[in-house]
Amino acid sequence: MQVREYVVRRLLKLPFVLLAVTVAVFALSRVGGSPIAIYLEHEMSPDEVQALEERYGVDKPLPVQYVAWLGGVARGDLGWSGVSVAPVSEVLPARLVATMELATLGSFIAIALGIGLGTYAGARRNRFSDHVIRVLTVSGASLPLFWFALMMLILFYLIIPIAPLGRFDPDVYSQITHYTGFYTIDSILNLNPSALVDAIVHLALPAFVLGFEGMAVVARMMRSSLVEEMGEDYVDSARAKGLPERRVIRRHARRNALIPTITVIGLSWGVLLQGSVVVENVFRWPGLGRWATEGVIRGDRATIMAFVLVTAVVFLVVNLVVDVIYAYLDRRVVLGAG
Amino acid sequence: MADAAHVDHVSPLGGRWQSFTTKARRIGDLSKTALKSPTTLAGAVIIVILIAMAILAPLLVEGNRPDPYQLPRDWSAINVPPGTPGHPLGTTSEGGDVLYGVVWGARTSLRLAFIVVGITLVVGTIIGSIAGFVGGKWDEVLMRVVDVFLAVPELILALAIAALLGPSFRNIIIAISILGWPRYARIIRGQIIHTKENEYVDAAHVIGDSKFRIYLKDILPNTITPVVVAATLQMGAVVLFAATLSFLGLAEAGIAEWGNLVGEGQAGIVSGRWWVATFGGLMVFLWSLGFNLFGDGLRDVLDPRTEGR
Repeated sequence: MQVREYVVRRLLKLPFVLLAVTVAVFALSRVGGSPIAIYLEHEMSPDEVQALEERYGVDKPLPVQYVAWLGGVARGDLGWSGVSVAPVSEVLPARLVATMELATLGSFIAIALGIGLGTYAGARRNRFSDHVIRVLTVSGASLPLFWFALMMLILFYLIIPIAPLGRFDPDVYSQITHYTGFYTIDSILNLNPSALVDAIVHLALPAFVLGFEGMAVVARMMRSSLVEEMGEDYVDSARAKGLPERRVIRRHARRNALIPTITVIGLSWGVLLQGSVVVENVFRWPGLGRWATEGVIRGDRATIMAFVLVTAVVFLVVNLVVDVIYAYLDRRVVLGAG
Repeated sequence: MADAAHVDHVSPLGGRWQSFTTKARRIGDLSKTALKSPTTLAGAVIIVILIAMAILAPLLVEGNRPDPYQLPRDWSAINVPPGTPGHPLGTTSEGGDVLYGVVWGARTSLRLAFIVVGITLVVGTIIGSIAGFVGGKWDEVLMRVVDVFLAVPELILALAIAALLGPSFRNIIIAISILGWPRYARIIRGQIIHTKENEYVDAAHVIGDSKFRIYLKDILPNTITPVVVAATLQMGAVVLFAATLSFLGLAEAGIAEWGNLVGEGQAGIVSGRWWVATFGGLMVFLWSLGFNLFGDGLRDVLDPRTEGR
């Protein structure tokens, strides 16, 4: 019952944190000059400026402005994106989907490779392969993602030209109907193999680069928790039963070692979201991160605010889900032990 | 859990800073132990070389006038590859010397790291101390603020702050400083709450020491160990973080900073001009690797409980 209580408490906390985030985003948008500055021109008279202020409501007290803005957000009105020359609410979904497609594959790579490498290293503690993997994971944590992405671009675009830039080949992309916005899924729904190949060819390198950082984090955690589990009594008794070592690791130690690793996977989602900003810029991926960077450079407030809001919500929800899963898994371990 | 801190307090009449110096000496001794590990030593060597480069920058490459933190422009040598006389590492698309950017970039990074770590450490210590030592409502309110800060990925917030303040390297420093303190606040608060439980703190109350004196003499010194580890790792992390922001175009054009060098070199890569981005990014990597290796080694000896996590 403790677990249910915990989950309910976490769920109740979420709206408050979300509200705090909206306050923070709103406060941010009000530092560094008037929010209507981009509409002002030199030859405007004070009356015209005042008219503009009234039109956008910036003459009202801040709390009133905040409530008005929040009401707009709730109705799906996120303002006008100067970068895309369209309402934010029209641009956002396609951008978000492009990022989600990249991030999903990236996290899959991070988790699969991370758990694999971590298990391999942990089972061969202090042997040569363990050291190699450790060096790899420590450099993974120190590697500037933007630089790693560019080095991969030099390697797979200049030297061995197999990786294209962007998200698709426009000729192939226009052949299919886009039901979901996910290029890979849509190409399967259209039963169009050449579109699927196009989608994967464009996705592969950016997703690998994006996943690399998270992989290092997951592998490190997996290794240390597997090393810990290997010292437990139940591992010895499994060995004493005469189980082969592979089976001891796969069926017993790895299962328990996965539990703490799940927390790190949740955390590495944040890493992944941040990374997508950099990766999308390098590989010209038309996602949320690239859109936001353009907004940032041009001082487009509506774009920046929408980006911060959406990423914060995605991040908080993912973290909540991970915490809840963890709570249930952890309880099972406690019950199993007792 | 056996911490040398307990030993530091045998003489209640000792000077106020005695326990600080004892702690510092202990950390110094342990750092020597840490250096026996080859990876930690490698980290230390990288750090020493890069810091020496930062300090000796004016002697290595003559400073640009009037602003040495701007790349000198040589309009007669645009996009020249490495090995060109006068430009051993080549130039950018605007004739900026890459070697100059690499050397003076070390100075920019060192300055940035000291400023940001200094500010966030002081602010984090004050806020963490209030939360941990005063406790009660203060603790509750301050820790909720910390929660909100740590709830959102920091690059996203930094991007927003730096964008709204306007693109400049100074604003990058401000943005990173705003985001850096909650981590220290949390470490220091936890450490203080843990230390408060000790009997020697009760003893200090009994002999009539003032609260502030107890805080300064008996409690604060115990926070040093994890803070030293965190600060070492942060020295590397902030440079990487700032480089990412300036790579994305948030610093002024032409500044002698590694991330900016990569940003300026990015467009040239598809046309085969690999050198600008490669050398700039390599420096960020080395800097960050050096502090990570050294910080990890330091943690293993100073704070063994968290080893490998």
